[in-house]
Parts: sequence; C-alpha cells; structure tokens
Amino acid sequence: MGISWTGNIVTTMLPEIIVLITGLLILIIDLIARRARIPTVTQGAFVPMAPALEQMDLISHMPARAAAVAARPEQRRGLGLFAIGGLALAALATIPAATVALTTGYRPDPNNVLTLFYISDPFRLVFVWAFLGMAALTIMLSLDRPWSYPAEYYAILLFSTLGMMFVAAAGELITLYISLELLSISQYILASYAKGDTRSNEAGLKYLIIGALSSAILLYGIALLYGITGTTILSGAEGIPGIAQIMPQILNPQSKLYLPGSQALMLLTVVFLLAGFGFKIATVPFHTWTPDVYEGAPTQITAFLSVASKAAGFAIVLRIFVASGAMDALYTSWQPIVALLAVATMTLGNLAAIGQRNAKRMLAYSSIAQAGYVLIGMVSQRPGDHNSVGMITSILYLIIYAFTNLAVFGVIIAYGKEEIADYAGLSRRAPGTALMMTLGLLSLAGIPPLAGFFGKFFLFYAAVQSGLVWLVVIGVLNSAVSLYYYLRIVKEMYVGQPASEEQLPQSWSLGSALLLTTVGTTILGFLSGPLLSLLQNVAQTVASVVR
Amino acid sequence: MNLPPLPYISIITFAPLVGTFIIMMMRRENVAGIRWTAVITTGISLLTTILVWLAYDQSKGGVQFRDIVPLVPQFGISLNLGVDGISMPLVLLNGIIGFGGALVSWNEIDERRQEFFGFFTLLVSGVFGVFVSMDLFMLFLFYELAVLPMYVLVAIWGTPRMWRQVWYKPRTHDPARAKTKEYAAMKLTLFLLFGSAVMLVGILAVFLVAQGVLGKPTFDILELASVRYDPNFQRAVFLPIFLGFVTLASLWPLHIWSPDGYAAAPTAASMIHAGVLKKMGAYGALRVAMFILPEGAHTFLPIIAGITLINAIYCAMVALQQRDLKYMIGYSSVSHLGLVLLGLASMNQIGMTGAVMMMFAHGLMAGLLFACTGFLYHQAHTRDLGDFGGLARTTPFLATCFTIGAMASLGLPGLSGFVAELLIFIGAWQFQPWIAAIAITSVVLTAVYLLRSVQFLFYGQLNAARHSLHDMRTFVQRAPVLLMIGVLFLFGILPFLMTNMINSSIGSVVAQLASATGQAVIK
Repeated sequence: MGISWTGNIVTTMLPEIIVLITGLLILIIDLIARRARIPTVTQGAFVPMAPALEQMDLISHMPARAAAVAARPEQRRGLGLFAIGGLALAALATIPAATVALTTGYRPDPNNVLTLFYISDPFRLVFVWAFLGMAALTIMLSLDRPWSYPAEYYAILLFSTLGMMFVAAAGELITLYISLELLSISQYILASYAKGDTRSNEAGLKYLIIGALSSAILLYGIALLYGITGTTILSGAEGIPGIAQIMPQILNPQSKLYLPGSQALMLLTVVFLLAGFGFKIATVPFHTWTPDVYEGAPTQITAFLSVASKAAGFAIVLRIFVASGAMDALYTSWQPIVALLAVATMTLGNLAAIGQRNAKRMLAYSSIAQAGYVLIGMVSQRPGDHNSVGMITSILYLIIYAFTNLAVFGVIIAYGKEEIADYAGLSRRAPGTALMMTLGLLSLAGIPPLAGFFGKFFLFYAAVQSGLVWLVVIGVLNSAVSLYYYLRIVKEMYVGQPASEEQLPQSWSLGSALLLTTVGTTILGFLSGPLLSLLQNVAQTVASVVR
Repeated sequence: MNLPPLPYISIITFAPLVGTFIIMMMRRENVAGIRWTAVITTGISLLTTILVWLAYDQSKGGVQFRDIVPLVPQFGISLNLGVDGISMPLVLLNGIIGFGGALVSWNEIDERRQEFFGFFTLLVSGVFGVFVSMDLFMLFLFYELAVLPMYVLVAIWGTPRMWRQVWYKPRTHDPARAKTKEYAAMKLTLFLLFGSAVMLVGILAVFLVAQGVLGKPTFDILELASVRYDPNFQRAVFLPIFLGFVTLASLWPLHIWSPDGYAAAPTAASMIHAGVLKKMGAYGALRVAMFILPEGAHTFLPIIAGITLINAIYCAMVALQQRDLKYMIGYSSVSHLGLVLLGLASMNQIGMTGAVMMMFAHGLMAGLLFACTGFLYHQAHTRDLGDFGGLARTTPFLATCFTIGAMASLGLPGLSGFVAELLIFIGAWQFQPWIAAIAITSVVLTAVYLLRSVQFLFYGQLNAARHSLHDMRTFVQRAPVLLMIGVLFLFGILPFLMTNMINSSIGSVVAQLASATGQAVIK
C-alpha cells in the first residue's frame, strides 16, 4: 500500500510540486545572479576578464553566468518567461490526474485518510487549470514592468498560485485554511509591491489588516464547525464520516448524535464562514477593502486579485457549501442569507461604480457586482438535485469573467492611465487596444454575443430553474444599470478628444496577452457547449457525495 | 423557382458582418475600399434577399430556407435561421435600408469612416439576425447586438447639440437646455436594455416550462409555441416579454427615448433606427410574445389596443408641434408604430397582415424622409422648418422625393402606406369599431403636419441663406432614394405581392391566437 500510495499522491500533486519548484528555482537563480552581478554594481569599473581566463572559468561559472543573464534588468523578462514555462509544465502535469478524474471519477480511499484531505476530482482540475491560466496571463501582463525585485515578484506570484491550487483540492478544513493563508499572505505582499508608491503601501496594509481579521473570523467558524461535528473532513468515505454525513444526524431528533438547539449554533457557523469567505470574494458588507486595494495595488496585481483571488474564494465557498455536501443539511438556512448577499453585492457594487472617476476603482466596484452574479449560481444549486446547474454555471461564469477582466486590466496596463477622463480619444491613438477594451467592458456588462452574455444567461437560467425569479429580476436590472458605467469608458474612448494624436507603443508580451484574453472574451460564449460538458463532470462531484 | 442548395439565410445575415471584419482590417486611409466593402456586402445581402423572396414557396408557407447549426446543445441553443412570410418583408426592408444607408453615408460621413462603416455593417447584420432567427436565444442575442452599435453611431456621429423646438414657443438656443448626442445615445441604450433585461426573465421562464413539457431543452420558437402553457403562466410571462419588445417599438409611454434618438442620430443610423430597428420590436412582439403566449395576448392586447390610440393620435399631435424636422419625423414614426401595434392588437388576419405591411411600408417611407432630411441638414446645418422655403426651385429632385415620402406616410393610394393603413383599420374595425374610428383620425393629423412640412421646405419664398443648397446629383445620392421610392410604388400598385407573402404564414399566428380561446377566426 505504502509505495503505490506515495507514487499516486506524487502523480496527483505533480502540478503543485512543479509550481513550487519553479518558484524556488526563480529565487535561487536570482540569488546566484545577484552574486554574479555584484562586481558590476559595486566596483563600477568592472574590468573584463582576459579571454583565456574566461575560457578557463567558463564551465565553473556557467550557472552563475546563465543566471546573471536572466536577471539583468533589461532581461528581467527571462524570469517571467521561466515562470510561465513552469506553469505550462504544471498544466501538462495535470494530465494523469485529469485522465483518472474525468474517466473513472475520483474515489477517495477509505484506508487512506489523506485522499479525503486532498481531493483530485474534476472540481479541482477545472479550478487548477483556471488558476494556472490566470497566473500565466498575469505574468504576461507583468513582463514589461520594471519591478524592483522581479525574482521575488514572480516567485511570490507562483506561491500564491500554489495556495490557490491547494485550495481547489482541499477537502478538509485545516488544509483549506492553511492553503488560504498561503495565497492570502502572498497577496498581501504583492499588493504592496510597488515599494515607492504610498498608495500601494496603503493597499497592502489595508488588505493585510482586514484580511487578518476576516481570517480570524473564518477560523472561529471552522472551530465551531469542528466543535459541533467533531471532524474537519468535509465529506467522508465509507467508515470515515465527514461533516456532510454527520451534520444531518446532528439535526435529526431521531438520531443518536442529535444535538438539541444546535440549529442556532449552526447558523452562527454559517455566518462566520460566509463572513470569512465574503472577504475573499468581496461580497457586501465585507467589500470595503476592495476599492482601496484595487486602486493602490500595482495594476497587474489588481488584475490577479480581481480574477484569481476571487475565483479561489469561490472555489472554497463552492467546495464547502455546494460540492462537498457539507452544508446541504443547512441549505434552507444559508440559502436566503446568500441570496440576500447576492442582491446587496450586485446592487451596491453597480450603484457605487457609477460615480467613480478612477478606472481601477470603478472596476473594483464592478468586480464586487460580478461576485454578486456568481452568488446567484451558488444559491441556485439545490442539494441532491442532479438537474441543478447552479454550481457549474457559477464556475463557467468565473472562467468567462477571468478572461474578460484580464482583458480590461490588460488595456489599463498597456495604456498606463487610471483616470477615466484620460481615456478620451483612445480609439484614435490605439484603435486595436480601444476595441479590446470595448469588447471587455461590454462582455462585463453582459452584451451579446460576447462571453459575458452567455455566462449571465446561464446563471439566470439556473436561478429561474430553482424558482428564484425575483433574484433574476434584480440581476437583470442590475446588469442593465451596469451598462451605464461601462459605456462611460467606451464613450470616452470613442467620443472624447485625445490629448495627443501620438500612437501608443505596443510590446509583444502585452499584445499577445491582450489578444488571448480578447479572443477568449469573444468566442468563449460560443464554446460554452464543450465547456459545459467538461463542467458536467464537476457536477458529478456533487452527485457522488456519500449520503 | 429552384435555387441551388446554399445557406442563403446565413449569407444574408453574415455578409455585412464579414464586411465589418474586412473594414476593420483595412487601413484608415483606404476610403474607397471601406465604402465599397460596406456597399458590396450590404448589396450581396439585398440581392440574396430578393432571390430568396422569389424562391420562397408561398403555397407551402411556413419557415423555409432553414440553416441549423447546434451551438450549446446542453441548453438547446442552435443557430437556427430561416424565413417565413412574416419575416420575409422585414428582411427585404432591412436589405433595402441597409444598402441604401451605406450609399447615403458614402459622402455624408466625412470623419472616422472606417469605424462608421464597421459599426454600420455590424448593425445591419444584427438586424438581419433578429428577423431570421427561429431560435429564441439567438433572436435575443441579435436583438441586443443590434442595439449596441446604435449607441456608438449616435454618440460619435450624431448631432452634437439640439433643442426640441416647438411652434408655440420662441426658439431657444440656450446651451443649458440643449440635448447632447451622448445624452440621446445613453437614453436610447438604457431604455432598450432595460426592456430586454425584463424580457430575458420571461424568456427564461418560457424556456424552462417548455423544457419540463417537452422533456428536452430547446429554444426553437416553433417548438416553444407548440407547448400549451398554463393560462395563468402565460398571463404572468406575456407582459414582461411583450413590454420588453414594444419598448423598442416605442409604445407610449415607453417611447420617450425614441424622438431624441432619432434627432441625434446621423442620417444612415436614423434610417436604420426608424426604418428597421423599431420593427424588430413589433416583430418580436408578434413572433415571440403573441405567437408563443396566445392566452396572454388575449388578456392584455385589448388594453394595449387602447394605448396604441395614444401613440397614434397623441404622438401625431406632438409631431404637429415640432419645428425641428427630425423631431417631427421622429414623433410621426412613433405615431405610425402605434398603428402597427394596433394592427397586431386586433388579433385577426387582416389586421396583422396590415401591421406587417405597415412595418415594411413605414420602414421605407421613414427611411426616405430621413435620407432627404439628412441630405438637407448636411448642407444647411439646420433642420428648423422656419429656416427653409422655396427649395422646390433650387432642389427639385429632393423636393419630389421628400414629397413622395410624405404622401406615402399620410396614406395616399398608390403607395404602400395606403394599403397597410387600410388593412389595419379594417382589422381594427372587426376587432372594435370605435377603436378603428378613433384611430382613423390620426390620418388627418398626419396629413396636416406632413403637408405643412412640405410647404415650409419647398414652397413659398426662397430663403436667401439657402440659395447655395445643391440638389441630389450624383448616382450615389440618387440611387438609395430612387430604390426606396420604386419599392414604395411597387407594393402600392401591386399590394398582393406583399399580402400574399404575409398571408402565407400569418395564418399560423392567427390559428395560435384562436386556439387560446377557441373562438372562430375572423378571416
């Protein structure tokens, strides 16, 4: 058992291992490179070695020299490309796990409790692919920026991605909490990465303080859940009951495990958990950090936070509340809470976005509103109903939203201006970039035939299917409101007079990232057929919960 | 007439879209290439439409020339295109207006041509899509796709500042009271998108209930219509869908976006807007709301018929007050759309045939009037009726065309508008004689404001400031108006060409409506 188990777990965890090693390698390369560079920096007049001497030293200095080339400021792209390579390799490494999960399905081994801690099911795979893609696109957007410490930047970005990948697989509360901390702490650092910029420092600090608070609340919720059920495993296997199996018995007066008066305690637990995760996905009323952090953080990181961090937050929420079945017994209590959260989040996000003058701040409120739409999908997933498509439409929407938002932030990075007024006349200075921005913004507003429309349509479908028509009415009215502020930027770009007629320079890395995301934004909707069939495997996760 | 098997409807719909892509790829300086691409691609659509019209088998009726490509099978969404006798006239209308609009813009648009023609062809493609989609999802998709380019067209190329001048008040040029093109564009977009947002909820509800009955997800309109929904469900869902569509068809009081939108829009955009876009609303109300939910139609349409009287008469009165030519035609078209909706609301074969014919005829005459107005405004930079006079001497061709448009609009026999109005009034009479009696008075009002505008523009003393106005001279200027006039005459003199086409398919809607209450159909 032992050997095969080790082999198995290494194969399944290979993507995470590769990302970890890539991150560490980047740090090591940089370390060596910095040592190799010291003479050039400190002595100023660095005397080139004699050719003969160089030849002699060539072999022994090879790694250091190669590293020095990679980390030189003008070649800092090297490190980023290395990181992208690592992410691509990690994506390849998911193939064995994917073959198993998508063909035979994932079955935890009752003899090995670790298979309940770390679940390699389609749910995990879809999210891992999404995170790898988002991280790779973020790095592509970051390549041009002269980071003061590029190696650490890319390494921390990778570690944050690593945390997300673990989050997607975690089937146990402590694993989940630690993965969440790994990703959050990395992001606190990244948010304040523009060291000289006080806004960035403020963003990092705010993010850290509010993040730590919400993390504490979350831990309280986890502790309560453990206290009530006596386990931290979300969904057990035969012989190892998890929360999903114990919870119904605690609430059932006929059961031995019945705990009188536990309903109130459970409700408290749900509220604590939602408060903790609400911070990550930026739902009202835990959204207050979002505008400040999004505005202050380096735009690349804002983009990463708005898509990857949010998706990771949703990965946890969906895992705990929907996919694992742990909260099914409490569905009737949390469903109205989450529905109200969705309404508040959509409405406040959209209304607050209307008045913004800074594009990043506006997109922060927009991303709050978008989280509200995703919550619609979550509440629409009725437990035990195999036809319910709430969860998979949520995931589909998250993927579409990631492409779209990265396209929009990509344009902001390419243009380098944050005030909406600065976008005046962009269509004349850079027609292609302005078009990409337009497509991105219209997709966020849910205008056909862009992907965002399909995403919202499916979400609303799921909600109507679950009888939540009132929620859909609020949702569609909200998306009509949202068009107003998205169109404001479009209007500036196309109607406003440009300050100068000078054409914008374009770099290939930014250009290709923009192109990729825009193509995604445009055609993903029409590809939702195949995407949905992939996601139907994820739905199997819900169906296969042991009851 | 037999045609070789080709995806004709896809060609009609997507040729302008291909044009959009080609135009976007071109260099900005390549003006000739951009113009020709727009004219040729819309021309291909128009020619294909004429072919399909001739080849459409009227004895069989129903949906023909179907192109079906599954898109999202999990939700039963497919690119399901086809035409029937109801959509055929509207497709032809969009073909004419799209081609004509491209020609009108040939000279009139003198800045940012690449973007203009790009958005214009996109708009034309979207409108085609609405009329040929037999899949409710795709219909909705095209419907919204058509709204967005409208925003850009108005916001960029529109009239920068305008005032709603009326006869009984002194003229104002107070900058504080000016309406900007951005205002008009945003108002238009938000109104239409709020409408479609409300509609979406209804569509989803219909889809889900039909899925429960049919056992499979489908957005096919014919399949959705084959389900017998619970009458109370129909009543609940009919209103959001119907109101969503008729926001675009400018039913009072949801029309207020429309005159501002017209007045601000550049000529080609107001041609499309008045000529075709509004018909999408009326078409959707007929094809989706009334066809799928007949019981709901029976409950609410009698009330709607009353409201359309306000459209027809009140808005004609408002048109009577306007000094600004575009506002006048704008309110006039709201008034005419009231007649279209009245024809639909009468729920009998004659009335609905008249309504579809009116959509077609009004599209042409509004397009014609806007083309002439735009031509004048482009030179004179004013649209105030008081600023003109005696133009018949200097611009006889323009005067003739405008007058023909006005005559068609006020329902002169021999032009398509007359047949349409007659059918609508007969239909309305069979439905409720007093409604028809009231509605007919709108014809008088229409005649007053249109004849007055003809008088102010073309007769009387020649305004000295307008001596330099030149007439439509080149082929590019004359071709679109001549095309529209020709078609107006064709279907005015030989109306059976049109009514036979519409009759070949309208029966299914009438039968559907009759099935709801079991009443005998009034033929």
